[in-house]
Amino acid sequence: MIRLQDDYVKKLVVARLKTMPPNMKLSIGSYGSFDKKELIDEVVRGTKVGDETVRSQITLILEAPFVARRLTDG
Amino acid sequence: MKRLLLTRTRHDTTTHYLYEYCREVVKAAEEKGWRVDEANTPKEVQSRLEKTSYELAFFNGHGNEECICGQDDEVLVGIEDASLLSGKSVYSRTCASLKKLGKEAVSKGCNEYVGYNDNFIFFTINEMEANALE
Repeated sequence: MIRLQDDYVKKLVVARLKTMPPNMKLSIGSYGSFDKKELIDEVVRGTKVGDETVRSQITLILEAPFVARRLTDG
Repeated sequence: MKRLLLTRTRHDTTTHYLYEYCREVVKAAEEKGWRVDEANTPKEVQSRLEKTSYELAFFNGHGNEECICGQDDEVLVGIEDASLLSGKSVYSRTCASLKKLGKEAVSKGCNEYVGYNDNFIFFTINEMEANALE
């Protein structure tokens, strides 16, 4: 069973974060706003912000097909 | 006249966006004849909730499962103050407050509590921060 803390999952999320444009930030709850470099660092270090980023990115991946279906069904 | 209590701050990027997103809400409410009161300190918010029959309390800011926060993350309404929301409808645009505060508020007589059970996460673009509505 794959867990959010697994290296494979972190690598996947880091790969996704690397595609972020440099002028974009991610605002995460009360933790603050983070740019691409900061987010990758947080994920790699396994901080609370990193864990939250991983969780949200994996949720996005898992939910994307359902969202797409709802959008195309009108 | 229906009355709306609004809390919003702009002490960081997240709250700045929430602050700006409220502009249209305030405009629409006033156009429909609502009176909109703004408050952002714990003392003022709690006093208004105690003394005024607001139909709607609309909170914008940071929060967690047990509280709603205002300027510089001061607690405006905590789980121990949930009874202050009695008789009102609440929309809490804050992280996670639906999970515990929302449930406690409804058990203490809040008409309805619309909120979120997780953290807000959204993307921002540096060049657009000054014009969040665009």
